Amino acid sequence: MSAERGAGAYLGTKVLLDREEGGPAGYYALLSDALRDELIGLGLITAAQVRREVERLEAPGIHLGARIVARAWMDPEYKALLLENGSEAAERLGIKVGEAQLVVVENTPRVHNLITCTLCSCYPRSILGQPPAWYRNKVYRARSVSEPRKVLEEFGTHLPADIVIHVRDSNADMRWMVLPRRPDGTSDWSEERLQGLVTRDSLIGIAEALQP
Amino acid sequence: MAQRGYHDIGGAPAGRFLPTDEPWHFWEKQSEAIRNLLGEGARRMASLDEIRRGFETMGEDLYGQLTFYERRLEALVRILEEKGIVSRADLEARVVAMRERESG
Repeated sequence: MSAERGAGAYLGTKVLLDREEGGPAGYYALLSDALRDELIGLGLITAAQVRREVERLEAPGIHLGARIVARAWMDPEYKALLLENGSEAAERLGIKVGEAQLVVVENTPRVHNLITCTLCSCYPRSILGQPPAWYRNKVYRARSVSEPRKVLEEFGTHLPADIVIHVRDSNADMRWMVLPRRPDGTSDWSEERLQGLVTRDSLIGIAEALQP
Repeated sequence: MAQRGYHDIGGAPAGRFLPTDEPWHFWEKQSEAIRNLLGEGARRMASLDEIRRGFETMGEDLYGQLTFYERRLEALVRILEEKGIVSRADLEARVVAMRERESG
């Protein structure tokens, strides 16, 4: 167990945290092990199940989102299905979406979509993996809905004034993902090559797809 | 009008946006894995909605002190204790024993 968190102590209803660097393993790191051992002892889970589930959590990534987007750029029928039922479209490519519904929204020359979760940090984890820390932080959660254009600019994305921004607020049952615009000059590209233009930030709507 | 919860910060004033990221630690993956295992069809012991209720009722002080994954684990433990599946005291005893082994 590493010393990524300072020591902490649970005192009745209060958790006290000492965030000093280099201290013993953090309270929550130990609590995570304690809960695992307790639930194994109760026969509710097994060590092998935990290990497999950790592996499963590590498996998704941007490449899955890139596969979905590149297929939609190539195949209009697939794109229609994707916009109609995101979870079903993902599963058609063998990508299993977890307990929440996947809803995919399309960027067009007139509309740009931005994904956020103001209440916590809901995100299409079963496709993209874990959200970046900034997505979970207060600043993004608070400001993405009130001044999205400014937040985008701070991220280096400058949208023309005539493009409307739709901010999509996720929740525990519904996860949004953006279908970015296919960059110009790629009409003769293969699906595999197109995948290389799809970035995580373009799937959240914080940026556009890479230009060739 | 319903009072706004401390987790409900959409539109609240906040500082400049800084695109940062952090490593994803093993204990964080492990507690997410445990939640997933308990939440799935057969066991149904801790749904995502319950985890959300957990961190929306732990109090603003604690919510504000904890990181994202600490908050989720704290909420999970509270939900499991509420249902009588685990006891906090038993978990604390394990934490104390681990600390002793670590320093011993």
